[in-house]
Amino acid sequence: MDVALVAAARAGSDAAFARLVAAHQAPLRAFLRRTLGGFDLADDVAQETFVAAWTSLGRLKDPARFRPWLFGIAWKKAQDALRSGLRDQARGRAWVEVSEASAGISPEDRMALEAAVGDLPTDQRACIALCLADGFSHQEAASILGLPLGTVKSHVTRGRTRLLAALTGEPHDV
Amino acid sequence: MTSDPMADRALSAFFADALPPARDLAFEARVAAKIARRRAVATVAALVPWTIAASVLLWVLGPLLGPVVDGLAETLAPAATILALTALAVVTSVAAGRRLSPIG
Repeated sequence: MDVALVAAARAGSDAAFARLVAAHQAPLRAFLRRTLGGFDLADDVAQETFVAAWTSLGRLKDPARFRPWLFGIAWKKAQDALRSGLRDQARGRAWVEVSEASAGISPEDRMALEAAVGDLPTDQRACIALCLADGFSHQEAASILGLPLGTVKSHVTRGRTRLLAALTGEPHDV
Repeated sequence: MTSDPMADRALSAFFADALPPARDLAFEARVAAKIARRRAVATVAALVPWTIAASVLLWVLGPLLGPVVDGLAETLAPAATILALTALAVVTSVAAGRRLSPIG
């Protein structure tokens, strides 16, 4: 599916690129929201990511790997946003923009998780977002984030432990 | 750490809260608008060197071609105008058709 759309978009089809945007906007924005915290900031970065992807689509070596490539661009944009002084703004809004409580979590647990996620280092948060929430493999996450595979595995394990500890009230050793 | 099913469920629900709707036409429209703006800027930027080159060429060749052009202008101007407008329409249609044609 992505391969044909990437080929058509490379040939100049706006409709094909629009289909790619429609197919990938939800997981990409979710990744950025989980990584950056602020929903508005995450959506701005997601838009910049798609524009950058459109500009550099010709440099994508393997069209079948469009999604990891797109997430890699998003990760670089997210790092830029955090470095450029938006970090404080993002952290100030972090994890407070969920408008509706879902059925599967109590308000107390939500607050505990919001605080725990906000305290995670950015790399660890990105690993958690990709591997636990978005279903990427450790190998794919390592490729997207430009981190060694062992580091990704360690980040996921430690991050998950910290989040679960926040839910159960257990102390963690990280 | 032992896995707590309730904690795992809470974690999954927490992650799911960040997921936007599967279709978000407003977001997609904003992306399309930004891409259109980027394309417009790129198109103008790409035309600048050609415009400068054409201007320099005409400035250089002007004195040589002037007498010839003056002689032919009255005869060829209407045909040249029609051909130029037709070519412009064809090029524009092909470009727009390629960009906007639906994907099968």
